[in-house]
Amino acid sequence: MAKPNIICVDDQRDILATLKKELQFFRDHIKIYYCESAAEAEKILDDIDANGEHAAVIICDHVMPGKSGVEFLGEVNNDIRFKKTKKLLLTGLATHEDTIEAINKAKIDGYVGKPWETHDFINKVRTLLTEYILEEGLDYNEFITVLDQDTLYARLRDTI
Amino acid sequence: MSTFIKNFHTQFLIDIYFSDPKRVLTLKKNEFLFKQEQFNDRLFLVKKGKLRGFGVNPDGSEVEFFIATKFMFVGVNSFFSTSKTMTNIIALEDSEVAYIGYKDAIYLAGGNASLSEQFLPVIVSELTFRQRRMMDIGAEKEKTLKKLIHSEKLASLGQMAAGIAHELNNAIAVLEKNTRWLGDQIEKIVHEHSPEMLKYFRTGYHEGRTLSNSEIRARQKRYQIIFKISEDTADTLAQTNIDEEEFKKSKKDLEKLAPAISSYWETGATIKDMLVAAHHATYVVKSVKELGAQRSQRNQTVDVNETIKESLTLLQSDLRRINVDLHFSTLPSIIANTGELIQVWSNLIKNACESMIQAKTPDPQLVITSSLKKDKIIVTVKDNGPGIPEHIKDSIFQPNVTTKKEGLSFGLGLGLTIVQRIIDSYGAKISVESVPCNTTFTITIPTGVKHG
Repeated sequence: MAKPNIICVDDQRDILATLKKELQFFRDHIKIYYCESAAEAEKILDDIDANGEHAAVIICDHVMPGKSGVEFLGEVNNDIRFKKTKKLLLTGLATHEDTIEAINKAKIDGYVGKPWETHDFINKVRTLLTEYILEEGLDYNEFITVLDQDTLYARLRDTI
Repeated sequence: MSTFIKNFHTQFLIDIYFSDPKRVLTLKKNEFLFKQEQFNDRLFLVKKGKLRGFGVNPDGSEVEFFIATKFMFVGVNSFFSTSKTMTNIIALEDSEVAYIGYKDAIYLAGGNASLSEQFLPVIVSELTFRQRRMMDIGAEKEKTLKKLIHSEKLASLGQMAAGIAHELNNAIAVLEKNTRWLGDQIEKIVHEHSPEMLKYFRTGYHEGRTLSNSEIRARQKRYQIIFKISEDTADTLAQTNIDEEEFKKSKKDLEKLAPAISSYWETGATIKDMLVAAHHATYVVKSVKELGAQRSQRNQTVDVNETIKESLTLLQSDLRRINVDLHFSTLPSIIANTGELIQVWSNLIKNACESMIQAKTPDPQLVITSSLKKDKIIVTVKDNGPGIPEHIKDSIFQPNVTTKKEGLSFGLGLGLTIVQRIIDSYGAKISVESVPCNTTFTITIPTGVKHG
């Protein structure tokens, strides 16, 4: 069974712990990884791919030691294995230029500022997850409780 | 309306036109030669003393145009242009001026040159002098204005920072104190109602998150095997930094107990997170406030190492992508102002960070050391960025020298000027050596009166 995963990347452990609580909603259905650096996330991505699973959504901070979030997401964007992976930038500080680069080079699918609003954040992740599952043609029935109903119906309507 | 061109030609003019003892005026100190808005039909040459030319603005304020001394011409403009005088000319001391008028005989030297033709060099020189003077005044004014605007900006920025800091401090204090209260309260409640869970809560609350997320994943895999529990349970338990031996004790019920253990631990760890975050916020606010403070007195006993640490906290967001290495020696306290020292370190650190980030230096690294040599504290701030560009190397401490192009960063080119000013005021010294991959600023501070 091809399992979709969510990967969170932030160098601050307390932020990751907060995200863990925020993403509780998905926990019973989707495996969520928490990484403290881009390098760590790269390893996880390799594992996910090697196990034949799916990297559905990456939620990534921008300002981190080593590789920045935008750099990392840019590389993911150019990686043929993760062409359809949804990329969400979660950051408290990004300059205008960073943001332009994030859109142009990393082709991010969403942007959330810190501090974020729980409801909006969850909805964004839900929508991205749903889009990924539909685009990859995965069986969505197993995850239907955590998917975004509007996105789902819109897609179903289009296909009929 | 004065000029000083004592050369062959003027000497000739002086001899011809300004040597008649009948055409000499003597002025007592504070006596006017002429006033503004009059007609003047004479050209004067100062023979002795000192005259001052000034204008009076409509609001009554005075503008000084010139001071005329021996062999300087006065009244050139009004005499040749035949317009009204623009200046008041007053004797600053008892003076003597020679003059000629329109009606005085024109000396025809080898041709038919008119008076104005003969005086052309004097006129041109006068105009040039006047223009240069206005340009100088303009440039000086602009400089003063810039300085003024800058210090105004800094002052209002400082005031604003202090205001925001105050408001934030109140908010943070409420959050911090109440979080602490909540934590202690929960600890009590757990102690009373579920004493068997107290140790889990306490581990989270007092120790916080000590495990990295990769360690957690490794633990999870191990727990799954050694305790024969589900992936989910193993994950739950792996999050906590509770001693493995604890889990072995309740081996049989582990699957059942895991959610509760995790929940108590997580509650504790979360409160700890909040306390740490509040503490961090307090530190940041404190640093900002000190930066914004007006030049305060140097009456604090200061540990230089602490001021460096505070600067690092203040610049945490700039430093995220940079590896920071600190090598501190124990230092004697010095009498100083914390804010000023923080300003020095912050500027140096900020410059280092920005140069490395701008140049996309791979593995950017900042090394800060402190040491004591005899009675001097030596601090070095080193980065492995591209180095200071050759063409500005000699002028980095001067204002308006900057390499920062981005609009958001300060880029006023004042950072090192401020640093230099503060350093000087402490009788300290700053030097810099810069080649690509190694730029090191060295600051030497005399310890002066020792404390502690």
